Amino acid sequence: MPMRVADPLRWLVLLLLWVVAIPTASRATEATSPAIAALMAEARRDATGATCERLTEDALARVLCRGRIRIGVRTNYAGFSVQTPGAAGPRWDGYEIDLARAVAATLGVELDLVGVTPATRIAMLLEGRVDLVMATMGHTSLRDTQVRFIRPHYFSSRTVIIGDRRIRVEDEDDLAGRTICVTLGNADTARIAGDGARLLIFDSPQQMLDALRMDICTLAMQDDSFFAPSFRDSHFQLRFEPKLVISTLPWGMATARPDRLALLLDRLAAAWHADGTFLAAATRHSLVTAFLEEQRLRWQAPGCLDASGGPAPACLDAPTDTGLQPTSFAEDVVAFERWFSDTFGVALTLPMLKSQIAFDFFLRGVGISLLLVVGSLVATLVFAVGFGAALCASSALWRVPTQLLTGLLQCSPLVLLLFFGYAMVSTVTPYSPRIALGLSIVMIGLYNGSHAGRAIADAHGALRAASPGADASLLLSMRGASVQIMSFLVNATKGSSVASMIGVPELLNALTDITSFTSERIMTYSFLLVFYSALVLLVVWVTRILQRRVLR
Amino acid sequence: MIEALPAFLPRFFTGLVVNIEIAVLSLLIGTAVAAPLVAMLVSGRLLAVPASIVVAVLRAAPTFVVMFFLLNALPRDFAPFGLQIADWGLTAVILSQAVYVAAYVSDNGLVALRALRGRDYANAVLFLPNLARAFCVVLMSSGVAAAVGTPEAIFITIREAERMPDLGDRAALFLMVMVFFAIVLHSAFALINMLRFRLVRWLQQAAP
Repeated sequence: MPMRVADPLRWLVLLLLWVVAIPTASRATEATSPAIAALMAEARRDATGATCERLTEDALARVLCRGRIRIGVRTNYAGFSVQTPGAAGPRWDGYEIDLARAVAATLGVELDLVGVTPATRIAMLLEGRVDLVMATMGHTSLRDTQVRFIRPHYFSSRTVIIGDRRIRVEDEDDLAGRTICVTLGNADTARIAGDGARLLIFDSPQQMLDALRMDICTLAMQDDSFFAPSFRDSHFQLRFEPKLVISTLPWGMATARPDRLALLLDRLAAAWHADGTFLAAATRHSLVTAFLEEQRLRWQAPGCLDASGGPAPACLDAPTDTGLQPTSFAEDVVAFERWFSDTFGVALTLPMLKSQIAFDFFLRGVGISLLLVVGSLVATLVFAVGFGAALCASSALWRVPTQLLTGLLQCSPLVLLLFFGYAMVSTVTPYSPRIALGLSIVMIGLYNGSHAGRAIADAHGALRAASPGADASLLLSMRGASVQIMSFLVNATKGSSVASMIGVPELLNALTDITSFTSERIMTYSFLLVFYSALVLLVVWVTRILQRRVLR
Repeated sequence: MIEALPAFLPRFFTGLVVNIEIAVLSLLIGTAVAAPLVAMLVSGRLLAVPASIVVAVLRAAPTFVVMFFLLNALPRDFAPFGLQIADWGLTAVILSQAVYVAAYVSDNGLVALRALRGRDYANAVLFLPNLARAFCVVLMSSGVAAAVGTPEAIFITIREAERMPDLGDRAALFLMVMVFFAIVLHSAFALINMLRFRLVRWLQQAAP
């Protein structure tokens, strides 16, 4: 690989950091090292043969007994943790990998790196499949109730939205109705979903970045540190630009419980800020270092360490409040999930009931879906009768334009009709969920009503052909076309969820939003399928009863 | 909008090829699923009852929701018959449309098979134009693939419109694509009807 001009500069900065760090870091290390050493000595005493034979609850003693520490890391997060296949097994590289190696070295144990995802990292920690997680995990108030975060934090990112230069996005209001590509488990998606944005979820940031490059996404949200290497590419910079900063999120390592391992890592993190270990590792991987520079100054100050050598609470940053507060009945839901899992052996997760914002999205989604279905049924019936009447009219002034209009509507994909309507309405009024809902009802009604209206006209023609001169009223024609009318009412119900594409916050959109920040997908989408299928079956049942009555 | 057309049209037609691929594969998979169901429906009560329940479920399945369910609920290492799935979005679209096709072909196949058994060849042969009709319907509804980022014709149209600052241009672009679909599909349906009439006439003439 050719050496870049920036490389000698980077080494110079590292050397300067090292020179500056040594005298100042020693002050902090003097205070923290004895504390770390004392904790280690105590844990080593406990990790004797007799204790090791029993599976100890204390993670630090367990790690020392085993002589290995299992650390959960990402496998595909550029700059932080990337796994690549190699002849002698997988190769790992990144800021978090360097830190994981440093943790293992400090404890004097072997390191086992375990690949985790945003969807599995907390579960694997709580199930005891890893001892520590260091996997690009933002410290949020909700996660703070689930696992024990190590503070001070080892990194902080800004969640940014970047996008195509040709698209105008100046503030969060401009996100309404737009599709934004996000990754599973991003804590900030709840916020932009609340702004009315539609989310397209990807499993990994790399997949999302590929989608952005391939024009599948026009806007994407992720940490600025992730996008930074891409913006060094002039082609990328020519096409995309940062649009908005959504939030600042501190990243933390986490253990399952507030035990001695957590306590030790707290002290280690403070020491590593003070002696520049974090900063040097981040610089080595070309990460944004503003946060680490600020933290280094903070933890070099003697006032930030308490009497026992631990980090003083006043110097610690609080977790970010992403609005994901638990519901008042969240504990009951968790208890029910556990009971269900124990009784039936099937893991049941109900994320839509556990955080308040998810529960609000869920309730709103169910309500809007019901409104959408009822509205679409009414609109289909109204347009069917209207088109039918116009097509059966004796005057060509009614018939010909209606024939042209229904011809166009019948052969236009519903998705296209929805976006056409959305473009038309946007010229007169700004986007709002209510506008999108009303528009969707009208478009679904127009599409299905045009088919049903044609069926009425066909029945009218058949009646007149069968008995020329006899009465072929609209009511009789509708009776003749009742089978088709009912089938297009069912069709309207089945197609109503397509409205989510123009940002109607119905259940599909609501559950996609919930999935994006809770990471749970299987149960969520199974519920969605059952909900909509039940709605369709209900409409099929009602239309059959109506049909029987009409034909009686 | 006119100045955007030279760049837009080639991408649009490339996207249309994806729509055709979706329709063809959905039709093949759906028909393969429907064939044993139809055989069960005409066999005897023992097999007909479960088959009719399966057909009723397929008929009631909302395609768009099924697509999202398949995309999100299926494990990423799922490999039916040892086949590794490369594009989950496209696969979900094809399979969800195949659900619709399976129900449609089951219903029409049953009618055709009964007509065939009653030596009513004119009605039996209508199965072929009905299959062509299903192809057109799937082609039209394959635009839902835009929701999962599959670069088909509707998706490309939506992306192009997003970049147009003028709202009038956006509406004009959508209208142009709507008219295109209307012309293509009306021509296709007219062709299907002509084929149907010719088949029926040929069968009437061939009948002893």
